[in-house]
Amino acid sequence: MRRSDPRIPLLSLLLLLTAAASLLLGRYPAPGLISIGGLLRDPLAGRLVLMLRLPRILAGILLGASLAAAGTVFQMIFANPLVEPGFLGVSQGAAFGAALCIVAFSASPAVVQAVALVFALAGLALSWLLARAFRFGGWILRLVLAGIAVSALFAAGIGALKLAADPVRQLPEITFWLLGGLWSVTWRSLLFLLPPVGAGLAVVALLRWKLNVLSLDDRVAHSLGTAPERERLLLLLAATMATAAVVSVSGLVGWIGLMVPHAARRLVGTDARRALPAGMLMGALSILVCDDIARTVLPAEIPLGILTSLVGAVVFIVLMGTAGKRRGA
Amino acid sequence: MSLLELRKVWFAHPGGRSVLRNLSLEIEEGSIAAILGPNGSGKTTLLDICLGWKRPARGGVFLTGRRLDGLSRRERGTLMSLVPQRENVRFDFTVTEYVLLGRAPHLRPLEAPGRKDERIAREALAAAGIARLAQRSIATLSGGEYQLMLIARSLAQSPALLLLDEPASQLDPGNQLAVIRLLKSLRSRGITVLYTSHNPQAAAIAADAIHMLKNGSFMVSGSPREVLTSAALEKVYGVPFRVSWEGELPQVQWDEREGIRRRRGRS
Repeated sequence: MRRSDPRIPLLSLLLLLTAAASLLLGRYPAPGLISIGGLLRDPLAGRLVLMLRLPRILAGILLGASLAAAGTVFQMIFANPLVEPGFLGVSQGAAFGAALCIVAFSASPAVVQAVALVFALAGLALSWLLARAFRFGGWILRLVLAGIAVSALFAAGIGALKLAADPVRQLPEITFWLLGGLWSVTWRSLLFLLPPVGAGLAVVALLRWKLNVLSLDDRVAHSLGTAPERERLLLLLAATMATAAVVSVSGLVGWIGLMVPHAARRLVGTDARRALPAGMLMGALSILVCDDIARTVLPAEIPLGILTSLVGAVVFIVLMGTAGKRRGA
Repeated sequence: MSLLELRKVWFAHPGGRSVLRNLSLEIEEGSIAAILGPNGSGKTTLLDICLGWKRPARGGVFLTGRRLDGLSRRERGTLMSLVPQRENVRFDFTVTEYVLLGRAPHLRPLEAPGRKDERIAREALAAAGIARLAQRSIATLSGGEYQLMLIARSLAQSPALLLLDEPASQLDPGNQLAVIRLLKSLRSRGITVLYTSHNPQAAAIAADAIHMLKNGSFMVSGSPREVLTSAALEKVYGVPFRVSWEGELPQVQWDEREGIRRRRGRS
């Protein structure tokens, strides 16, 4: 019986190496890797690595780990492999908040982030209240339907804001935000991320074995001495809080929260004791690699969301096309 | 003292007809009891009431002499376990990983199963006769193996009382017999068993006591010999039955030809 998996330390090592390489990778002074010697000789390069690349890399790790952890939680709690962490109104809420900020106040990135977080949480709260008001189906189904409704409402709002936005100054900014990216990350935004992300991920990590129990039918989970609704709610809130915080900084970064949990289960098995940490590491790795490409390949930054969707979709297609390894079968 | 007792239980679905009416039941410790009745007679609801998943509108449920709603969730989970009629496990656990979930009520809130729990899970797999499947993915199991795995998960819960909802109704005869033999072996290990069935023969060959349910209350309760009469069975199921005994083993069969003949005569 394996409680841990040898591939998890391996993934950690890989993440560490990738993070170190990402520090040296960029377009200054020339596109590609900068040598350690070059870094020490050039004070501007040193400041660039310390003040821009390092917080951006750390934020990327938090983003990938949060999206993958939240995706794992959502898929197991809803016993549905097709849900992703933003669907309870969180992603569209954050996007609406950001667009509103850009159009109404032409605000700085820090203000946009704060307002996006407020609206992400408002999206969750609204989904919650609607689910309580709905008179149809079980609790989980009501929550899913409410999430769809709230996301659609915010999407309509975003459409209206895009229409109203100044096409030269504001519309590109909104579009760029909607496509996601980590270009705006500073040490300050990283500090702003840490408390909600840290708290959310800690709750999820501590309860990861329980996720297995909570993926069973309500009646069976009840017979196993759990309070399925209450414990699912706790995990849901924790995962959503982390997601809302990272999304408010990064914008909409698709596919990681949906695809990485599947890939992690394929790699280390279903038991969330292994699938959750493996997923978090793989999510962080995916974001780091995509972000390295986003900021290095072209002179202008490629939006991160485009790359994660592209890579995610390709990996997903390959994953679904190859038969899973059935252990012991 | 009876292990499980229902006293004058009433239950109705919200806004619907009453499902259980003034129903009382006592399950003796160390016995195998069957709830027998046609589809829709309230068997699953009755199990849900025993489990504390549904609450009776009136009446009380007592487990080891204590009120069920006075027990903590974990206490309840260590005393009583459920094998549902169907369980769709949507993720591809291994059999061992799934059976380990039965240890949940024995663990502290943030605790994950350890070596002792793994040993108990292995014992449960062996007791259910499926030790060889331990590392298999549950998506590869046959219907019979799957049912035995559900029972193994319940055994890993180390319960005093095992509730099973139609444990054999979807299995072929060979696997039905395997499940029934497993239930009998559990009784000899001191586990009390309560199961539902719509099939009189399945109730007849395993149970010490049969409670025949019709329209939400018990029509007859007693030993198989007392309960399984062709008159009582016909009253509950609405078709003629033939019952014969060979020593302690009954043979209960509904008389299809006679049933069809009577239906024709009526129309």
